[in-house]
Amino acid sequence: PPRERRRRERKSGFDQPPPGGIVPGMMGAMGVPAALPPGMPGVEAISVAAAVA
Amino acid sequence: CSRLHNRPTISPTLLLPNLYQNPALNAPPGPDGLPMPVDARKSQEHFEDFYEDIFEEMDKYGQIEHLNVCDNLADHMVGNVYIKFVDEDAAARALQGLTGRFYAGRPIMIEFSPVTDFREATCR
Repeated sequence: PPRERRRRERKSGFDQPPPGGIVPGMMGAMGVPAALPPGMPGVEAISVAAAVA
Repeated sequence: CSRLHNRPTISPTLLLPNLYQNPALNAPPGPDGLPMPVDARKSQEHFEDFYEDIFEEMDKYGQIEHLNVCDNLADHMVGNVYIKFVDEDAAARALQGLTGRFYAGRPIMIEFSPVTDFREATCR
Protein backbone atom coordinates (compact mmCIF):
# COMPACT_ATOMS: atom_id res chain seq x y z
CA PRO A 1 0.00 0.00 0.00
CA PRO A 2 1.19 3.59 -0.63
CA ARG A 3 1.26 4.28 3.09
CA GLU A 4 3.61 1.38 3.78
CA ARG A 5 5.84 2.38 0.87
CA ARG A 6 5.98 5.96 2.12
CA ARG A 7 6.87 4.70 5.55
CA ARG A 8 9.78 2.65 4.22
CA GLU A 9 11.11 5.46 2.05
CA ARG A 10 10.70 8.21 4.60
CA LYS A 11 13.52 9.19 6.92
CA SER A 12 12.63 9.81 10.56
CA GLY A 13 12.62 13.42 11.71
CA PHE A 14 14.70 12.47 14.74
CA ASP A 15 18.28 13.73 14.85
CA GLN A 16 17.82 16.10 11.94
CA PRO A 17 19.75 19.21 12.99
CA PRO A 18 18.78 22.67 11.78
CA PRO A 19 19.86 23.22 8.13
CA GLY A 20 22.40 25.88 9.08
CA GLY A 21 23.65 24.10 12.19
CA ILE A 22 23.47 25.50 15.70
CA VAL A 23 24.05 29.22 15.83
CA PRO A 24 23.84 31.62 18.79
CA GLY A 25 20.34 32.88 19.44
CA MET A 26 18.58 30.31 17.31
CA MET A 27 16.81 28.69 20.24
CA GLY A 28 14.98 31.91 21.03
CA ALA A 29 14.16 32.51 17.38
CA MET A 30 12.43 29.15 17.18
CA GLY A 31 10.17 30.04 20.05
CA VAL A 32 11.41 27.48 22.51
CA PRO A 33 11.87 28.36 26.18
CA ALA A 34 15.28 29.65 27.20
CA ALA A 35 15.58 27.05 29.94
CA LEU A 36 17.16 24.18 28.05
CA PRO A 37 18.00 20.82 29.56
CA PRO A 38 21.62 20.53 30.72
CA GLY A 39 23.92 19.39 27.96
CA MET A 40 21.70 20.64 25.15
CA PRO A 41 23.91 21.65 22.20
CA GLY A 42 24.03 25.39 21.73
CA VAL A 43 23.57 26.32 25.36
CA GLU A 44 27.15 27.50 25.73
CA ALA A 45 26.86 29.60 22.57
CA ILE A 46 23.73 31.30 23.90
CA SER A 47 25.34 31.95 27.26
CA VAL A 48 28.30 33.61 25.57
CA ALA A 49 26.00 35.78 23.46
CA ALA A 50 24.02 36.79 26.55
CA ALA A 51 27.20 37.62 28.45
CA VAL A 52 28.42 39.87 25.62
CA ALA A 53 25.06 41.65 25.45
CA CYS B 1 0.26 26.87 29.05
CA SER B 2 0.16 30.05 31.11
CA ARG B 3 -1.13 28.24 34.20
CA LEU B 4 1.24 27.41 36.99
CA HIS B 5 1.76 23.68 36.60
CA ASN B 6 3.28 21.31 39.05
CA ARG B 7 6.31 19.62 37.50
CA PRO B 8 6.94 16.22 39.01
CA THR B 9 10.44 14.88 39.41
CA ILE B 10 9.27 11.48 38.18
CA SER B 11 6.16 10.38 36.33
CA PRO B 12 5.14 7.74 33.79
CA THR B 13 4.06 10.58 31.50
CA LEU B 14 6.32 12.81 29.46
CA LEU B 15 5.50 16.12 27.84
CA LEU B 16 7.29 17.32 24.72
CA PRO B 17 6.00 20.87 24.32
CA ASN B 18 5.46 22.36 20.86
CA LEU B 19 7.02 19.44 19.04
CA TYR B 20 4.35 18.91 16.39
CA GLN B 21 4.33 21.62 13.76
CA ASN B 22 0.94 21.66 12.05
CA PRO B 23 1.53 22.51 8.36
CA ALA B 24 -1.30 25.05 8.55
CA LEU B 25 0.77 27.10 11.00
CA ASN B 26 3.63 27.43 8.53
CA ALA B 27 1.56 27.91 5.38
CA PRO B 28 2.81 30.77 3.22
CA PRO B 29 0.54 33.81 2.95
CA GLY B 30 -1.73 34.05 -0.09
CA PRO B 31 -2.58 37.16 -2.13
CA ASP B 32 -5.08 38.25 0.52
CA GLY B 33 -2.44 38.04 3.22
CA LEU B 34 -4.09 35.07 4.90
CA PRO B 35 -2.29 31.70 5.09
CA MET B 36 -2.81 29.54 2.01
CA PRO B 37 -5.08 26.55 2.66
CA VAL B 38 -3.25 23.27 3.23
CA ASP B 39 -4.32 20.15 1.36
CA ALA B 40 -6.23 17.98 3.84
CA ARG B 41 -4.66 14.74 2.61
CA LYS B 42 -1.11 16.10 2.88
CA SER B 43 -1.90 17.47 6.30
CA GLN B 44 -3.15 14.05 7.43
CA GLU B 45 -0.06 12.32 6.01
CA HIS B 46 2.16 14.84 7.79
CA PHE B 47 0.44 14.05 11.07
CA GLU B 48 0.65 10.30 10.55
CA ASP B 49 4.35 10.49 9.69
CA PHE B 50 4.98 12.47 12.84
CA TYR B 51 2.96 10.05 14.97
CA GLU B 52 4.87 7.08 13.56
CA ASP B 53 8.21 8.76 14.21
CA ILE B 54 7.33 9.48 17.81
CA PHE B 55 5.81 6.07 18.47
CA GLU B 56 8.73 4.16 16.99
CA GLU B 57 11.30 6.21 18.86
CA MET B 58 9.49 6.08 22.19
CA ASP B 59 8.78 2.38 21.87
CA LYS B 60 12.53 1.80 22.21
CA TYR B 61 12.38 2.96 25.83
CA GLY B 62 9.45 0.88 27.05
CA GLN B 63 5.82 -0.01 26.58
CA ILE B 64 3.65 2.95 25.68
CA GLU B 65 0.21 3.21 27.22
CA HIS B 66 -0.95 6.45 25.60
CA LEU B 67 0.44 8.75 22.95
CA ASN B 68 -1.42 12.01 22.47
CA VAL B 69 -0.42 14.63 19.93
CA CYS B 70 -2.12 18.04 20.15
CA ASP B 71 -2.93 18.92 16.56
CA ASN B 72 -4.47 22.26 17.39
CA LEU B 73 -3.85 25.71 15.93
CA ALA B 74 -4.54 27.86 18.97
CA ASP B 75 -1.64 28.90 21.18
CA HIS B 76 -2.67 26.81 24.16
CA MET B 77 -0.74 23.52 24.20
CA VAL B 78 0.00 23.90 20.50
CA GLY B 79 1.87 20.89 19.18
CA ASN B 80 2.28 19.32 22.60
CA VAL B 81 3.01 15.61 22.71
CA TYR B 82 2.10 13.55 25.77
CA ILE B 83 3.43 10.03 26.17
CA LYS B 84 2.38 7.83 29.01
CA PHE B 85 4.51 4.75 29.56
CA VAL B 86 3.40 1.72 31.50
CA ASP B 87 6.12 2.36 34.05
CA GLU B 88 8.06 5.36 35.29
CA ASP B 89 11.46 3.86 34.57
CA ALA B 90 10.69 3.80 30.85
CA ALA B 91 9.70 7.46 31.00
CA ALA B 92 12.92 8.29 32.81
CA ARG B 93 14.96 6.45 30.19
CA ALA B 94 13.12 8.27 27.41
CA LEU B 95 13.71 11.64 29.04
CA GLN B 96 17.41 10.89 29.32
CA GLY B 97 17.56 9.49 25.81
CA LEU B 98 15.87 12.43 24.13
CA THR B 99 17.53 15.25 26.02
CA GLY B 100 19.78 17.26 23.75
CA ARG B 101 18.42 15.80 20.52
CA PHE B 102 16.64 17.37 17.56
CA TYR B 103 13.48 16.61 15.66
CA ALA B 104 13.07 17.97 12.14
CA GLY B 105 15.67 20.64 12.78
CA ARG B 106 14.22 21.77 16.09
CA PRO B 107 15.55 21.01 19.57
CA ILE B 108 13.45 18.60 21.58
CA MET B 109 12.21 19.94 24.88
CA ILE B 110 11.12 17.21 27.27
CA GLU B 111 9.87 17.06 30.84
CA PHE B 112 7.80 14.89 33.14
CA SER B 113 4.11 15.65 33.14
CA PRO B 114 1.71 15.18 36.07
CA VAL B 115 -1.02 13.94 33.70
CA THR B 116 -1.85 10.30 34.26
CA ASP B 117 -5.49 10.23 33.15
CA PHE B 118 -6.02 12.04 29.86
CA ARG B 119 -9.81 11.97 30.16
CA GLU B 120 -9.60 14.02 33.34
CA ALA B 121 -6.69 16.22 32.25
CA THR B 122 -7.31 19.93 32.44
CA CYS B 123 -5.14 22.95 33.14
CA ARG B 124 -5.74 24.17 36.65
